[in-house]
Amino acid sequence: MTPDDLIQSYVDDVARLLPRAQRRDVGYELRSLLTEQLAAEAGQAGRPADEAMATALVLGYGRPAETAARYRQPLILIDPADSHRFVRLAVIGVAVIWVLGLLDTLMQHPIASAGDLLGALAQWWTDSGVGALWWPGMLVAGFAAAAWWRRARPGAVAWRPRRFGRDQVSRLGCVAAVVAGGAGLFLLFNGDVLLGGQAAPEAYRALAMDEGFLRERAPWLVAALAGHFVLYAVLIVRGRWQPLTRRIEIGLTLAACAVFGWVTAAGAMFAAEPADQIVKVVLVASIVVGLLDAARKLYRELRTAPYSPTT
Amino acid sequence: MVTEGVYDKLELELRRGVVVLAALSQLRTARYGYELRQSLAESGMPIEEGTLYPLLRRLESQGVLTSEWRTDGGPPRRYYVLSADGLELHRRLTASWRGLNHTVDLLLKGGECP
Repeated sequence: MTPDDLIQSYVDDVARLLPRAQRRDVGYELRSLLTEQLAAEAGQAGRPADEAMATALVLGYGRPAETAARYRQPLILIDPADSHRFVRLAVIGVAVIWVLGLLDTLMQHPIASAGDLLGALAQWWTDSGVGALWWPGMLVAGFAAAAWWRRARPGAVAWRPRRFGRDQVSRLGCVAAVVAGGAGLFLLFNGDVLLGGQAAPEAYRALAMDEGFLRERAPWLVAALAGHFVLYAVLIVRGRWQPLTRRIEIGLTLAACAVFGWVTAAGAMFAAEPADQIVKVVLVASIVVGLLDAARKLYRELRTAPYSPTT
Repeated sequence: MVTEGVYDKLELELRRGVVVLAALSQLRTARYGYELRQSLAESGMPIEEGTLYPLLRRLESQGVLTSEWRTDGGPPRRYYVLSADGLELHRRLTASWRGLNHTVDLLLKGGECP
């Protein structure tokens, strides 16, 4: 390849990455500059330009994509200030989806041999392994939209102090949580209230609870949630989080996750299969959210513990 | 040496900060890219060609420079020169640079290593 051909090849690759309106003009200028520089370097070296000399010259400019990028205004999809947060959320999210997907696959495909294991793993990779990439994709779109909005409206998204300090409790929020939890618990055991006494008998049968569940597991489920209600009542009175109440909340959340897991795995909760499946999906989702929340709070508690005043 | 890599990186950042002003300073008369690079290098301010040539285009798109193709008996070359806005920008940046230079000089004299 002659030095001229090599330069032309490089310029073509750069021009291809430029906006259409710039391609001819920038390409022509870049080619003339590279040719002139190569001639000058050959003159200094005291020998005709060759392929090696031309290669060294264009490599000094960088990859064609880098050179083309310098001709354009930089495009930032995710603000550098948000990059670490983006990576953390993407990694944690993908890890959670992979673990849940693996559990789901193992539950659906009992492992009796190495072949079963390989088959289950292949199924997991197809469903969750590759499928989990929707999460980072969605994060990119979200972060890019937020970055665009901040640039478009710099004043509208200025930082504001938190309405509630880290230790301050939103009493209204606690009352709402207790009311919502109580209502949810009431409806779980009295779903027929929603039917208003005028629905078909099949509807009542669909919401009938399993006798074994009511006798053995339901009291534990109620107790797990009642612990949270008591904690929120204390918080409503005190108005502030304290190290002890924080740790009690983490313990109660972990205990509730354990009870939910046991209740879900130990057998049917409703006599009818569809109702049973729906409630169990809700419970599993609650376990995932609860574990993530407890892990986050535990991490913050352990990290900040040496700097917190003892009470 | 651990500080060598850090020095290279920080020194590059310092240079990046003055690349625009250095280029503008040489464009009160029209020059083409390679000629400008040579002029800056001879004055002790070498700038990578991959940085300088795109910079000229970006400054032109911002209205700081104007350009035209000339042949002058040789191969066609694109010549760049400061526009009216570019002259004003150059004046303001020069004043800012002198102020900064003075301040940093004072700071360095005050904190000079023994």
